[in-house]
Amino acid sequence: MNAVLAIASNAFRESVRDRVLWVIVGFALLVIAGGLFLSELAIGQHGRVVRDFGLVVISVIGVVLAVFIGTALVHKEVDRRTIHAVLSKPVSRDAFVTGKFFGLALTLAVCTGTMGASLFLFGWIEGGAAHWPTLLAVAFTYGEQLLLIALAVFFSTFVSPVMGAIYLFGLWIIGNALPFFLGAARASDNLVTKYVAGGLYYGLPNLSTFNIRDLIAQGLLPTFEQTLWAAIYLAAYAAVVIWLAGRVFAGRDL
Amino acid sequence: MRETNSSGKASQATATPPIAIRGLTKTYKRGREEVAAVRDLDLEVQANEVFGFLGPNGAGKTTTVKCLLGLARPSTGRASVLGHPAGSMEARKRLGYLPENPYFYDYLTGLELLDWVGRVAGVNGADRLRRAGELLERVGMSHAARIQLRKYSRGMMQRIGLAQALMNDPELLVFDEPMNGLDPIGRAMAKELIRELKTQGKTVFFNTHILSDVEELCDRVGIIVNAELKAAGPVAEVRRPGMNLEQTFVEVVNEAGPLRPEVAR
Repeated sequence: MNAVLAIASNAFRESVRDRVLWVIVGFALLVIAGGLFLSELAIGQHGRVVRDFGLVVISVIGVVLAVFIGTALVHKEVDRRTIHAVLSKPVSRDAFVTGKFFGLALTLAVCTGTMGASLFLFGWIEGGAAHWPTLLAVAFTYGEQLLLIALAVFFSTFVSPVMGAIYLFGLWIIGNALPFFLGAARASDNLVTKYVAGGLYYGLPNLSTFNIRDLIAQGLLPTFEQTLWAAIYLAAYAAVVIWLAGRVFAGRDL
Repeated sequence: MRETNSSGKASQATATPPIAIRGLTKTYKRGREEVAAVRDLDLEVQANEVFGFLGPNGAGKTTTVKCLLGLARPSTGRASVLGHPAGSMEARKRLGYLPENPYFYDYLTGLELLDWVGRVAGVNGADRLRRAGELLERVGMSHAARIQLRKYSRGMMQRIGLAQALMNDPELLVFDEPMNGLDPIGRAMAKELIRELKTQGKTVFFNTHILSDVEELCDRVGIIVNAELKAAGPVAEVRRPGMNLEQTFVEVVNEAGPLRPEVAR
C-alpha cells in the first residue's frame, strides 16, 4: 500500500509539474469561457448554452488528457529506463501500475475539478442562479475519465503511446455508441448479429453509462439506482482492467 | 568452468551466499532466432566480498544483473539473492542498485528523489530525511540537494545514483558501471565508498570496464564473453602469469573468438 501511494503521489507530481498539462487546461478554460459569447446567440437560454457547451468541452479535454498522458505512462518509464531503478526496490509490478492509475486519477480530478468549478461559476453568472446538476454531470464525466485512464494504463503496459492512443480513442467512440449495439442485438433476427452485438455491449467499456449530459439538458437528474450502478460499474471494470495491466506487465522483460 | 573463492579453494559456502546463480540462461528472440544473452552461468558471490563482473559490451553483464533484480526472467536455471529467489520482494528489500547510465525522474530534486526512494523502500519519515542528508553529504551532492535532476551533469547523476542505491542501508549492492561519467574526484569518492561498504560488512557486485579499478577494489572477478563465463576467481588467480588484469582480459576475450552484437538493451 505504501508503494502504491508513493508511486501515485510521484505520478501526480510529475503531471502537475508538466507545463503542457496546464496549457491544455488553460485552453479548456478559455473555450469554456467562450461559451459565454456563444450563449448570446440563444434567446432566453444563456445559462443552458454555457453549461451544455462547457460539459462537452470538459468531456473532450478529459479524453485528450487520458489519451496523451495515460497511454505513455508506463511505456515512457520502460523507454527511459527509469523503471529499472523503481522495480529494483520492493515495488511489485501490480503496485506500480495501480499507483500510476491513482496518480493520473488525482491529476484528472484536479484538472476536471478546476474546469467543472469554472463552468459552474460561468453558468451561474450567465444564468443568474446556481445550477447544481452541472456538478453532477461533471462528476459523471470524471467517472468516464477514470475508466479511460484505467484502459490507457493497460495499453501502456504493452503497446507504444501512438498505438495506445489509437486503441483508446477507438474505445471511446465505440464505448459511447454501445447502446446502439444493444439495440441492434435486440432487433436482429440473425443469431450471429445478436450474439456479436450483445457480446460487444457487455464486454467493451460502456462509457454511455457516464453520459448524463442530455438528461441534465432536459432538466432531469439520474436516479439513485442509475448513479449507484455507474459507480459499481466503474469500480468493477477499472479494477479488472488494472489487474490485467499488472498481469501483462508482470510477464514482460524490462 | 570451476569457480574458486577468495581463499583459492573451490566454492563450498556453508551459509547461503548473497548471490548464487546456477545454470542461468537467458535468451531473447531476434526475428525467428533465439539468441542467448547469457548461457549456462554458474556464479557465487560470498558475503562481504567485492566482486567485479567484467566483459566487453554485449557480453551479458547487464542481462545477468537484470535477472538478479527480477527485471528479466531466466529462460532456464535459477538465481538467488540473499537467500531468496532473485527478484523477490524479500531480496529487493535488502539490496541497492545503481543502473548503468542511471535515469531517474528528472522533475525531482536530488533530495526529493532520495526521499521518494526511501519511501518506496519502506524507510520511515524521520529516518528518511536524516539518511538522505547523510548520503547527499557522502556523495558530495549537498549543494545540489534542491536542484532538479534535469539540471544535473552526468557525473552528478551518477553520484545521486550511488546515493539512492544506499537509501535503504542494503546488505548487497549491485552497481552497473559505477564509475561511468565520474571525474577523477568522483571516481576516488566512488572507490572510497566501495571500500567503506566492504568495511561495513556489505557485499558489492559491480560491472565495469575499468580494469585498474577492479584490480584495486575487488576480491574476486568474473569475465564473461559472448554470453559465457570464461574466467572467475580471486584477482591474483585470474591474472595470467606475467600479465596484468587488462592484458589477461584482452587475451580471454580474444580466445573467445569474434564478438557478437548486443542481444538485449
